Amino acid sequence: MKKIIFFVLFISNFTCNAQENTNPNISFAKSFQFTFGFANLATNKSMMGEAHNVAFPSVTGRLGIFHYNKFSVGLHASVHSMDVKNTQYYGYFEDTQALAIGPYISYYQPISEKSLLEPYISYDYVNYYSNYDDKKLHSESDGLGLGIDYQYKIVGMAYVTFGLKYSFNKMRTETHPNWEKYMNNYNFMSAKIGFTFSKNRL
Amino acid sequence: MKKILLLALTPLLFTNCSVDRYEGDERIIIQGKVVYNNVPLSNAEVDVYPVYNKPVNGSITEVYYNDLNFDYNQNSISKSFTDNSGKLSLSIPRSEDTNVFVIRISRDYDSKYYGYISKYNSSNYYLNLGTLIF
Repeated sequence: MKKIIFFVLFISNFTCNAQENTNPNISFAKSFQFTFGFANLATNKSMMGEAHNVAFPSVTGRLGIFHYNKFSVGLHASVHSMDVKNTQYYGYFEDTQALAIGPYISYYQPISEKSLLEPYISYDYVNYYSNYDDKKLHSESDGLGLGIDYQYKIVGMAYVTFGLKYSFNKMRTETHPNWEKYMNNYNFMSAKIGFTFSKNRL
Repeated sequence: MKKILLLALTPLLFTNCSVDRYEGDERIIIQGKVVYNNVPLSNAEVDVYPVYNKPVNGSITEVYYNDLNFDYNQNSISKSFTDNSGKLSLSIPRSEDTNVFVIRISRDYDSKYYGYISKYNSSNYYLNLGTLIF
């Protein structure tokens, strides 16, 4: 019994000291972003790019989970809907909803007393759902996103945010090797505006 | 109570069954040429339909509407047009219900069906229809 009490006291003492010595550069869940804008801009020559119109609105959310100095690691999610304009290779559908989710890592750099730049890199796992009449098509892709946000502090921890992102996606589609590049490589740009809520940045 | 529940759920069952579901994990590329009186047929509408016929062999020939077993909706999965050379080029995703398709060529008020597109005549996700005589 004495050993158990000693062990509990030891752990408590250790935890208390650890909390006192916590690195002030490390923090958790202190950044959240919510934006809307356009997607499927400046597409490459690909089945997905040529089949779809510009997507509006595109709604994006981002939660920073772990922060170390100016680095953040977190999760992002987005959803956008786009009309099908070319049915030749994609299929006879009316519109497509794209739902993306994945982790990201970012680094912010203050550029003035009230503004900062935050470049980031993300992994995007995307599900596409197309519909027309009583038909449904489901597709998936894996993507790499490269983006940069400009944030201007408006009050407290609120920043108005403008951002651009370019996504390099690879559809999960098996097809003839001669057509693989056209069917699977799908790249596009997104533009967004919204708000970021962050503590202790500026 | 059970009867009411059964009656309420029955329409949902039928609604779910009547949806054609496709997956983009596989896509077959289909190419070919359409001629009419030995002249390339340009701007002809090209539609691809899923069917439940059993293909006998790999050859693509004209098939007749009355012999085709369409699904409930009879929705085309692909819609495009032949170019100035009469060539057609399209892709179809994998159907969850059938792996047999027919192609319909339409010009003005005439249309003809050709089949069957299936595993017998596609190789490595590619099928060349050859020349279809309209």
